[in-house]
Amino acid sequence: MCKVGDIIVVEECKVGNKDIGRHSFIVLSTDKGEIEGLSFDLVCNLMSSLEGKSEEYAKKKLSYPENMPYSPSEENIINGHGKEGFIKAGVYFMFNRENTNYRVIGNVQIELYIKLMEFIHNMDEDDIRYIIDNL
Amino acid sequence: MNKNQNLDNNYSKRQGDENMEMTKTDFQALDVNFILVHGRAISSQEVLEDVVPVNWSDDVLNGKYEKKTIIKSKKEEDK
Repeated sequence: MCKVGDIIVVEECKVGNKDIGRHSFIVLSTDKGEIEGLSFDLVCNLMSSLEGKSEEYAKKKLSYPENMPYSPSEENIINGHGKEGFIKAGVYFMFNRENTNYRVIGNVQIELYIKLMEFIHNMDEDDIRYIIDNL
Repeated sequence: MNKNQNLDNNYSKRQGDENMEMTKTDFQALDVNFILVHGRAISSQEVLEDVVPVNWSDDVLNGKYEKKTIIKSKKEEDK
């Protein structure tokens, strides 16, 4: 089980017909829904790390309109990774929990979640994309 | 554009009355219809080219600290 605001790790995520491996997500919704005849009950934003990247690299990635920066202090995870990162706020992964191999490892601080909602609220529609390949 | 109504709920709770104690809000779920109506489906990895997986330790992934994390979260909620 997971809830809104949780950080989860999903094994074997797919985009298209390709397995992109293990990734971390922030849970945005656990409401049931259906798209193109496929059921989902989990909607998430992908998290990305900036570990080992130069300041220039980080600045460039954070300039993209769909990327929202976050600090490890905004996570509630004991012994977390301690690195800066960003959230792909413009890309939404849809999952069906029953068919998804995932684990809850913590959650984000409410202030970060509110900031994320504000960020999404202000995004251009052209930057909003969703992925249903995991359904 | 159909704005995310849940955001408005968070704001109304946050602004509140200046004399009232500010309380934390719940994690309001995203209005998924907003995403489905205004967004578009993709099956290309191009948008993820800049993504680097977050590197968690094996202990975190195995749930070693799960109980402590839950306790810590509850303490944060109680503040």
